[in-house]
Amino acid sequence: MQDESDAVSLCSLFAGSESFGIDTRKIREVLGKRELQRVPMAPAYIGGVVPYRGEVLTAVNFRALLGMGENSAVSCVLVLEDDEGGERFGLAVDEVGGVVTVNRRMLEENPCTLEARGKWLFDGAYKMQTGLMVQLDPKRLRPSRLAETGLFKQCVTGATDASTDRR
Amino acid sequence: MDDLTSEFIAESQEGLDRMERCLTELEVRPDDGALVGEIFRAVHTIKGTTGFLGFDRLEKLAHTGEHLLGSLRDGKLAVTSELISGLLSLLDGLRAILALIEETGGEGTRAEDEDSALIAELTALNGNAPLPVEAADAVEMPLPEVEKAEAHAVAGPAAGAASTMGNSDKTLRIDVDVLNRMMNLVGELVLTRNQMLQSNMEAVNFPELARRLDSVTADLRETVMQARMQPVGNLFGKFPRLVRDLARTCARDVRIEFSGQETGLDKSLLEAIKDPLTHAVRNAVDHGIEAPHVRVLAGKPAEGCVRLRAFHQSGSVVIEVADDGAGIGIERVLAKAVERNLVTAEQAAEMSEREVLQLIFLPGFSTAAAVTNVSGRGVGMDVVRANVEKVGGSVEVESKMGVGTTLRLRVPLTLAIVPALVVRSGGQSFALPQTALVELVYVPRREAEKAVEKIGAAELYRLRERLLPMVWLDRLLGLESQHTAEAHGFYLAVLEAEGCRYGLVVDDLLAPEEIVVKPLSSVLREIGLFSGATVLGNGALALILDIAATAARAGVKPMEEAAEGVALVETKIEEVEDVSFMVFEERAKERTALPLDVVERIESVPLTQIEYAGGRALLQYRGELLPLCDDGNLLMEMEGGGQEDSLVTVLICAHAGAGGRHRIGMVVRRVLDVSPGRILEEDTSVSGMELALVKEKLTMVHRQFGAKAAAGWREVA
Repeated sequence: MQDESDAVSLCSLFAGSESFGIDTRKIREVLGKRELQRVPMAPAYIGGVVPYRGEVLTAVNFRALLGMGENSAVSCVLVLEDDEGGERFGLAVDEVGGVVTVNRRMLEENPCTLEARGKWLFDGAYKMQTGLMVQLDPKRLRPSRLAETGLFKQCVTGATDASTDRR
Repeated sequence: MDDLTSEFIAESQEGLDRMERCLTELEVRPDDGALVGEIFRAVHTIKGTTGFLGFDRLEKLAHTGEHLLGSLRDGKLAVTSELISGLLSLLDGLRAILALIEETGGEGTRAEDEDSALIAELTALNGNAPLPVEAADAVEMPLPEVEKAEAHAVAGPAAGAASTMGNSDKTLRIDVDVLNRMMNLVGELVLTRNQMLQSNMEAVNFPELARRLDSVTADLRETVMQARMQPVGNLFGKFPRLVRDLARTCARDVRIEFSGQETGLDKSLLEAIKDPLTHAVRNAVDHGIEAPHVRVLAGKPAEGCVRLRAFHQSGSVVIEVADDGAGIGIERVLAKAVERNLVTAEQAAEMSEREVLQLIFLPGFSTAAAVTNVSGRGVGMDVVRANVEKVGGSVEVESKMGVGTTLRLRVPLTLAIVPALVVRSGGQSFALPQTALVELVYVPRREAEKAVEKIGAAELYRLRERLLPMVWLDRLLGLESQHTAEAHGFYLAVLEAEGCRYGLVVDDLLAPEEIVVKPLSSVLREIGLFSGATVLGNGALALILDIAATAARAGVKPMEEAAEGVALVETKIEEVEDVSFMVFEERAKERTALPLDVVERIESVPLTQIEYAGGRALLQYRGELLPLCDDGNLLMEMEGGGQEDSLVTVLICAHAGAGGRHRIGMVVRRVLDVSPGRILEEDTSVSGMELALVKEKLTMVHRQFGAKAAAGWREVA
């Protein structure tokens, strides 16, 4: 492996108390705090839709993917682009940090004890001085891919149950 | 496929389309040398280009065709029906090879034999001297294949000419002028943006900039729309051939006429109505027009006529397919409908002619054999209607026994921008397309309890003595109910789509808006309830509700139940000879009414917005100056009351009088009801007014308001 290719710049983001990183080349834009328009009957991991440059962007609710509860209607939205699918989508997280440059060699594989959902979402972790930064792969966060895996169906039913309870 | 080849295909297809039109015209005007020249050129161009692209099979066929056409051009051959058929099969052959090239990149070898048959046929045709009988037989041989294909197409509903689709559907020819104008406008847009970025919100010129941005956007939008517009004639172009082939198959004598080919329609819409229209034309030839001897017996010319007409009408494009055939037999339709249990015999007896004709659009009515041999119309008419409704259009049918049938397709000008009503439910905004909206009903809090009637768990609303299934939008979508019903009552949007009619309960109505439809991602499309999303004027997003899908999700059924409901209402109305009235209070304690069809809207207007000129009250309404009619002196009373912010209820009434449509505003105290009533005999003691019984109460009816409006209009002008 060559030296220059070892450096990767990641954009750090937060959900709850955990920190995550996404390769900056996969991020098209950070929209900042936006109010998401909820879509009724949509799977729970869909946070809603948000207008973006003349398009209606579907945003994935990252907290819901992790099984965390609702935080607030306002969340930070990143616009991600997948070069293969060409599909643009948003990722709603609690907060976006800054750009961190890390060495690829510091990446550790997912631990084998990780449950299935985590294995799907996470793409290893970087050992940072402050703790671990989990790397995310935008390809796997794509709404259509999430629907295909069926791994997140449970959190769908969970949400609808909750809504019936509330009523 | 390289650029050169794809360009060649697009060009050749255009040439062949031209050739097809010319061929059918040539049959009518065999002596027109210009037409022959045009056809010759099309084939010649193909032959020339294929030569250096290396498509030998195509070249060989084109060469034979060119040779034949050359003889025709030099006057060595006469135009006969066989010759035209032969040339049409040449056309099909060329098209098939082009399609193969487009699909696979090569012209293939598997259908080599077919070509040689065709070439032999064309060579036979080229043999000078009047055609011998054997040659005519030889001509017939390959024909059955074509006819079979056509016959198959007749049977299958709307099986469009799929082979010719492809490249030409994805590309669009635009006038360079239009493109230049677009570029200019984009430049203007960039300049305006730059200026806006440099100034700030508080800047003096900001409003001016915003206005400029507005006008540039409007211009740009119009130009883009113009570029998307395609003349309907492009679509009509393929019908002469279709009619010709079909007429031969069904042994009819049919001529096709066009008008309004230049009418523009959005390209995507043009594609969408292609199949329904093809189907309608097929129906007209196949079932509408009678056989020549039957026509002669009926005193009509032996040659039938199918007329295609396109024109603009109030913001939409109407395409008419009219034939001068036998018309639809009302009794036969009814008999069939009763037989198929679509209506009961009693209902059938009471139905008006118009209603009976609507029956042919019912899904159960269409199973091919049942109808083709009985009523002669209706094969897959439900499919036609569904396809047109999918793009926000509608279908009507008119028919007179022995005189003919007219099918009218009405489609919006464009798909991308639709008028919609924005409503709120469960704290979210939703857009309802106006095309599906029939009327709006407000149910106040105190009446909410009474208004909802129940059969089991199903909730119903009695709208003018007709039970309407109620669908609560917030419950259907699993939204948290805002419990506004207790606070303000609720609104009922009466919607109709694909034959389903239901009342959608929403919490609040926001403004009607022209919305720009944006597609949703696949995950959200899968929910199936939303047809898109839009950005509202305030920057928020609203989901566009798919009216038909919502009905299906809520379990609202079209068909029998609904039809029964209609029949019930009709009988009631016929009994008392009713007119629908809007009842309101104008003078205190008096009930006044207007025929419902003249009332366009009910508006609440702040008192301060009403202006006065020459002692008359006027209202600026949608860029129009509306004279207000205030018989109850309500305005005076309210102005005297000193409440600046009070609202006045104004009925916007339209009257189509001499010299165009006039609008007038009626100032009323409050709107009471909409109900059917009966006009009483005119009474001379109350001049200018008529009395009616509405719900057994005496009510005064404004009838003169039209004349009054006209007078008022002159004063204003």
